[in-house]
Amino acid sequence: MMANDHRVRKILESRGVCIPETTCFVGGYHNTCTDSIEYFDVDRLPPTRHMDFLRAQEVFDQAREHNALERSRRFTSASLDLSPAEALRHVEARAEDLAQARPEYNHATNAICFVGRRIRIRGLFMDRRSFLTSYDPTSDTEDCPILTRILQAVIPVCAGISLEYYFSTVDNMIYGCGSKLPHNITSLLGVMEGAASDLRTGLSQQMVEIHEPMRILFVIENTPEAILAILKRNEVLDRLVSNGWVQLASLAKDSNKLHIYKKGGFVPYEPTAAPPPVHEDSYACYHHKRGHLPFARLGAQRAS
Amino acid sequence: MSTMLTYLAAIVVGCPILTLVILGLSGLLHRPLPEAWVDRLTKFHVTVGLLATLGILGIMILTDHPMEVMDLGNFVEIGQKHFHFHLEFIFDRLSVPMVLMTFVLVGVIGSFANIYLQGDAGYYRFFVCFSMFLVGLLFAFLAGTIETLFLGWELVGLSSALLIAYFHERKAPVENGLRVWGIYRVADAAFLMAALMMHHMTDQGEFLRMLSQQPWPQGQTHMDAWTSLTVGILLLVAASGKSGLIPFSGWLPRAMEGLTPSSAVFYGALSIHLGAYLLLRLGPVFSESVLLRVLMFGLGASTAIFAAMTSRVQTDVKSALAYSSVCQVGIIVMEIALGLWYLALVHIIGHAFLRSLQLLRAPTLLRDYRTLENAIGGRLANGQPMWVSGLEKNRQVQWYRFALERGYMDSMIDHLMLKPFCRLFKTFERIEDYWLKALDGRSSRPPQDS
Amino acid sequence: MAQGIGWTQQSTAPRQLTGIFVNTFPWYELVIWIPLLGFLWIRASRTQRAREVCLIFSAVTMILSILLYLGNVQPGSSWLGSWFGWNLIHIDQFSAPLIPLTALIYFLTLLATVGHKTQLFPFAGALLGESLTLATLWTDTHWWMILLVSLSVIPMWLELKARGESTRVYGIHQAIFIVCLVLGEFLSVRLNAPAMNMSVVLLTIAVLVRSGAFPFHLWRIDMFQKASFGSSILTVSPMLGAYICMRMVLPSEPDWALHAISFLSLATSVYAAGMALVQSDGRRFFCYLFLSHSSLVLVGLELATPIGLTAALCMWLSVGLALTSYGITLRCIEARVGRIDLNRYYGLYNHMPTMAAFFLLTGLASVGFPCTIGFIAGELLIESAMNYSPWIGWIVVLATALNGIAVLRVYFRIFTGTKHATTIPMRSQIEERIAIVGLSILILAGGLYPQPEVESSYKAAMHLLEEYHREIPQTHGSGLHSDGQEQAH
Repeated sequence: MMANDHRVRKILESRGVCIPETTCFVGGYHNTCTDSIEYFDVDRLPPTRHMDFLRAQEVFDQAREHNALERSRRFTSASLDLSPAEALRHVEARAEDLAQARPEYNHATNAICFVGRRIRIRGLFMDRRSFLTSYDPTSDTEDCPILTRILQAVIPVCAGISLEYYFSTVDNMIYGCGSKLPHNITSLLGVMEGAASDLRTGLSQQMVEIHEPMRILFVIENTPEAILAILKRNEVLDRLVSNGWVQLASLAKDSNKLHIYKKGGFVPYEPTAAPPPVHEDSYACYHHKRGHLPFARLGAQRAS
Repeated sequence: MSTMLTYLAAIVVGCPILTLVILGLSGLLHRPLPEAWVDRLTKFHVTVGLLATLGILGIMILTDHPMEVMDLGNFVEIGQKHFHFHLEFIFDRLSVPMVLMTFVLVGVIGSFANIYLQGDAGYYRFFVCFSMFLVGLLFAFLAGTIETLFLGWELVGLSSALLIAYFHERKAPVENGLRVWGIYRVADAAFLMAALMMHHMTDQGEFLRMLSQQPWPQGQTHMDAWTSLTVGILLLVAASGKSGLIPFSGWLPRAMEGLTPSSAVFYGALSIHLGAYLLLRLGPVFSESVLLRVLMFGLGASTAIFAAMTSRVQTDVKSALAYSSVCQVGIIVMEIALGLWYLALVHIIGHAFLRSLQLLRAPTLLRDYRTLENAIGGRLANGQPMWVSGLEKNRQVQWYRFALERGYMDSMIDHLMLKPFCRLFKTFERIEDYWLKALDGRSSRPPQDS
Repeated sequence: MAQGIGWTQQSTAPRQLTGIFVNTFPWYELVIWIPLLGFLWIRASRTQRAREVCLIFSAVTMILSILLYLGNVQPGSSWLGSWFGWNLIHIDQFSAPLIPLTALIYFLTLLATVGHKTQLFPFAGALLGESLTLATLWTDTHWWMILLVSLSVIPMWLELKARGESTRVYGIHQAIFIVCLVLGEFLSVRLNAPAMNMSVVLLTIAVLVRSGAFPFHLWRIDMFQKASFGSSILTVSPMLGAYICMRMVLPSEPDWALHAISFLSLATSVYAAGMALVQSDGRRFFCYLFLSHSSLVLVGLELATPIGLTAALCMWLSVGLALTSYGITLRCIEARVGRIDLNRYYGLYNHMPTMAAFFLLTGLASVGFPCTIGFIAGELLIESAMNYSPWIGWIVVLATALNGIAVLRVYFRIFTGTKHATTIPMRSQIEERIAIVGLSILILAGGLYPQPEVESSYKAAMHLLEEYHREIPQTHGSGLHSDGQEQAH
């Protein structure tokens, strides 16, 4: 709403951020459990943009159905032959069912965070295991201030999520909160087990049962030197990276060369595995499969 | 018509027994059925039982037949009628509504549990105990003789203890399960003593003959005052053990160690009413003695007041709901004491459904609170009741502590009964060890591992 | 199931010949000789395969005794002692089911010896004990019984000695038992009144010592702690004390003696029930549990009414099957984890779920849970106790309730409460599984269809009362399960 206000736009223009007249912002909320999108303040949209908005909504609806289908393959109670519309109905029902102990799998199976231009990983099927952050290294300056701000947000958050899942999987009884089934809400602020027990923190067994415990790998599209400089200037990030809580890799801006962070410096990475298989589209990758899937290349679009 | 009734009655009782046998045998023989089959079997037999009970209800209403007795004959009989063990089921105005309620709730909870327990290692174990519980409950509600009722109670007791200890890899559920089993055994023993007394005095084993062959709720017993009093008090002890009245209320929050579905159906809705059901079924025993009715009323009233206080200050949602249940059961017992039998029956059924719903929704409590507060636009009101704010500060704290500690009843039972018992027998053990050593003539050696 | 013993019906000549053969061959003698032969064989050949030999011999004994029982075979006169003109053999409706039951108990205990217990268990001694016990059960002649019972004390004594344990407690109690038995029998043939009274007192003491009634139960605890679990089970399980009571005490003793035994047994039952609840050792727990139930058998016996005796006999069968199975299961668990400490949780359920289910089943069957073999026996006993006095009935109810709590407590301690981490597979082996399935079927069948068992016990009870010319008290039949106005026949 703020970004639509013409007074705000004028101030932003004076600071060098130019938002064209033809751009219009609509706020929305994507519920990852029911895969529903709620749009806010649609009544404030100019009538001239309604057609555009409806077209966008259609695209979003299609995306919702496909997203639901791709997620549903991991639910044992969902059949493997669902159509996208049926899959959407299924996840909506899951969210409403009182008896459902696994309404969604949240961030389970998270493994990678990619910080860079999306075009670089276009056509790579990653089985929903990657966090994605858009960052354009070409529009960043020598000091990489944009990258710094991005990493200051992304690394602690994603590391936190990854480590939370890691420890809850490795020892669910101690670091996780055990099975959800005996949980009892206490003092309206936490859960304990049964009639009396310690407060339980961490993730439940139902949330981590499909997770592979591993440290998250950050793939950042910039030079190793820039990344090392950022780490040197930020103590928090440096602690996470140099103490081995996360893994770090650097992808060159103009080629496919990768460097891996090892013991305070970057070393070149030589791929040893076979190249990923090629499939026609992501549906072909995951159709009729329940378990973990390897990465794949999608034939229709090639990654650059 | 009557053969139809007999067939339907046989189906109502036979289906759950058959299911229990199938599940139990396949488990014992190391060939547990797959989850999908267990689910289908459970849903099937509950549906069939429900339809059969509805059929019985319909026929009984249409033919204006107040009571149907299904006599399975003598389970055991010794010649010359010295001894016989008689299995008999009564379908009447009291038992048919209860059985209907049982089937509906058990069916709902069964389908709930099927999704809830998906992929859990104890799935099979849960459903075996579950069907045992259903069989026990049906026997208890439909019982026409004391043996049948006792059989039902025992089965309910065992399945309850095993379900509370469902998460048997932790200590707390197991300890609480044992405690509940202990209280149930004591209640069963009290009931058996009362029953024995009744028969010793009146020579009757069947409820009907005891109550002069009249359909519920009419009936008179023919016992003298003293017998009536003893039997009544023993029955009250049995009922308060089973239903969690004072001083046995401590078992109900402990029973929440089990799974949500089992806590819901068993302790919130069904088995907590067994004690009240006993009082209803044997109502005529009490209706003749004013002293007994006063005692019953006092028990119910004190339970209701105590539980109402306690449920307000409990820190976790399941204990709060448990004590609300106890409060309602206390009120039901008060109604029975006043002779308002039909009201008590309706109250039981309504309470059962409400409590099941609340307990099933308990895990989503935080979300419900958020939704409510979003709707209101602010926090929920959290004021104190009037009578509390009227007291001075010290007294408030005292009552608060009393309620928080659940009336100190568990500690009283521990202190006055369990610890002295253990101490006494441990003393005996020490005496025996002393004698063994003295006779042995040698110091005792560490036992060999064989 | 066959009811009692009778002549087999013959109609054609070959059948007649076979019938004569069947009826004149000393089959019942074989039942004693086969285990004795096994014992001698093992001793003489000092074989390494003692366990297999033992199993074969006891299996043959068991099958033979079961076939004899089911086939209603009438025992002829015994070969043993026939050269002196004695007929030592006497099997009636009462002891007929006890013989196959005892043989079954011995076989299953031997079968379920697994793990390190195979090294330590005295197989030869078990066979000798089986032979002596079966011989005791098969006779009615007093002095012969006394001789056999005295001899059967020896194997356990030798075992204790062989383990280097002190035999004083065991020795003292068994000495009292034998002395009282011998003296009592000796004095009972005198006809003057003081001798008769003395004899009554001595025999009563003998029965109480052997049955482990309070305060003579110390030898049982001592034995369970020191000897091997299997031999201890085999010593107490045939309930020879109760048998001696039936054969020697019931026929001749006055009512006051019977009531004394009954009262002390009742006290023992409650005392043992309470003790079982606070035990911290698995074996002692089992000892007390067994004591509690076998005392209930004595309570029923001493009430000397038709229902009382029926109750006692049913309970005898139930104790023999259910409690022994329970003991065997406990022993199998001990074979895997060592001596069971009931102060801690073992958490073995995931490792042996079938064993856990069976443990629960036999434990509950022992305490008379519905649908198991012990339920009717318990009901009958309470019924007969009520006829005598309501207080006795209440006390029996109390003892059963306490036992029920104890059994489930032990189940929870052994199979739940924690996660047991081990790399050794603990699943039940094939022999244990056979024993488990067989016993489960018997326990459940006996519970769900008890009519045949109860009827045969009732017939045996009536027969005993007639045979011993006891007056059957006029009951007014006002108990839990009887109709109002029936009188005793």
